[in-house]
Amino acid sequence: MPRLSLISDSADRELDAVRRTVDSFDRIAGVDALISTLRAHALRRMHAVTLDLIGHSRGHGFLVLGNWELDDSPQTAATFSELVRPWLDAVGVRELRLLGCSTGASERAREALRKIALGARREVFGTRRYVSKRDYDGGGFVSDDILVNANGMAPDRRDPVGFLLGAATAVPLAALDLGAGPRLTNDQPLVPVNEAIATAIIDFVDGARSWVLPGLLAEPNPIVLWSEHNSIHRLELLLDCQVVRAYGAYPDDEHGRLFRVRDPLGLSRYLDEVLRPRSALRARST
Amino acid sequence: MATTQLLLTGVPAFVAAVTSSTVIQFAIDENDFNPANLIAVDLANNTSLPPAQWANVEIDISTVGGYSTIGPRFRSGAYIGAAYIAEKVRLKFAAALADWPPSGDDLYQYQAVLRANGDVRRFHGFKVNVFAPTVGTVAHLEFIPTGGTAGTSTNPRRWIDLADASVVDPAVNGFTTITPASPVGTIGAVFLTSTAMTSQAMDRPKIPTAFGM
Repeated sequence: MPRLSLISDSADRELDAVRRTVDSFDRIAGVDALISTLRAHALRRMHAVTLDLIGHSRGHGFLVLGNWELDDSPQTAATFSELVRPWLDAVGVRELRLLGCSTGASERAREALRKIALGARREVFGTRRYVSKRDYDGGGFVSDDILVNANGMAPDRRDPVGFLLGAATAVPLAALDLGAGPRLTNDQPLVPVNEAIATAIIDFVDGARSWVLPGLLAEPNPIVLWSEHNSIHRLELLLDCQVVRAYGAYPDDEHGRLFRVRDPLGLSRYLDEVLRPRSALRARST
Repeated sequence: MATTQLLLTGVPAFVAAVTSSTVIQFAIDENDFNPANLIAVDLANNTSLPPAQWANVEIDISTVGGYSTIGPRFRSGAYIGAAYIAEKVRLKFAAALADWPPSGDDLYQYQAVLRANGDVRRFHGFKVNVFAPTVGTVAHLEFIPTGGTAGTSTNPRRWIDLADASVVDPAVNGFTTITPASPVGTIGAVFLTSTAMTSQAMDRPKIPTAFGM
């Protein structure tokens, strides 16, 4: 998911270490700088789902960005509702993460998260322990497991599919001799496509590794079928295009093999473009 | 550049009527439902206006740096909080503010000054008691909180350089009344800069205690 990392402009060794670790970031000297940075990204049509605000915490665990302390005062909430929120909308930000030490650990800190969330009308997360440069890599913050919301709860699983890398098999999509899989019936959302469309769909799939999950409780929608080398090929799209299931010739493929989709939103939009009747199919299947 | 300044007075605000997203009426007492006592302001006419337009200001901003906490926009904004109103509003609604400030307090304890002279600086009034003999221009002051009295053991005491304009608004500007010549036991006003309020840890809640700044 695209994200923006904005780091407090304070001059100190700890933040310098973070700045040396993260590849791409903006320096923020205060609320005005935050707004102008968001405005600049919006004007460049930059899109970011996650906004990481990185700095030290002060007092009860209030994040400090330059000269701005994001405390639990009504003024901070009003700043987010009046001044910051329009630019969060413009950039497409859905969640804010206040990445300082223990910014979600105390009751006052969580009250700040709550008020900022109300003002920004977005999910806002803090941290439940100290944070250091070891919580960052070149792409930004990596310790998602320490995030908490205003209620002290961990965020909803970012990955709704929940596939664990450790459970993946090394069987790639290219190794499968795709087949028609289990018996098909007309009440299923079948979508016959040509080879070009099938190739385009497969291009969205991360075919490097696969999972086998017998008993997966997810209905396919749609089931894409195409003919190649005089045989029917089948690919099932699951969980709002986040996963595809293919049936091949491996001994354990009775339940099919699951592959992650690199860009579920992109695949969904592509299908909407090329498969207009899909909505009708969805209606029929429900 | 000519100096421009604004005097703001903080009062409790219980929003009673919302006419538009920024035009409201509020009472300073949560139990006062007399329409004659409502104070009308347009929150859009706030201190974010450039100094050249300060004659139009009715209230302080409710965002970071400001002292008001109601709104700033309705109906999603806060209905209970503090409103720092401009002097012209205070005078216009003097009858509704007849009981303000509370008995024992002085008005300057609830007042802020914004002064534009190239940049915009904020000051807030505090009631102090000269606690010990002043050394040069450095005074040992006992800060008397709103609702408090001099001599209370919990009152904070600070050494303040009365000649340091980055800390105190000089008496010559007409708001600070304590000077290096003030003898021990003098009770009066010092208007601290916003940075000094933070550094001296004097930015405690004022009005109302539970909802104010």
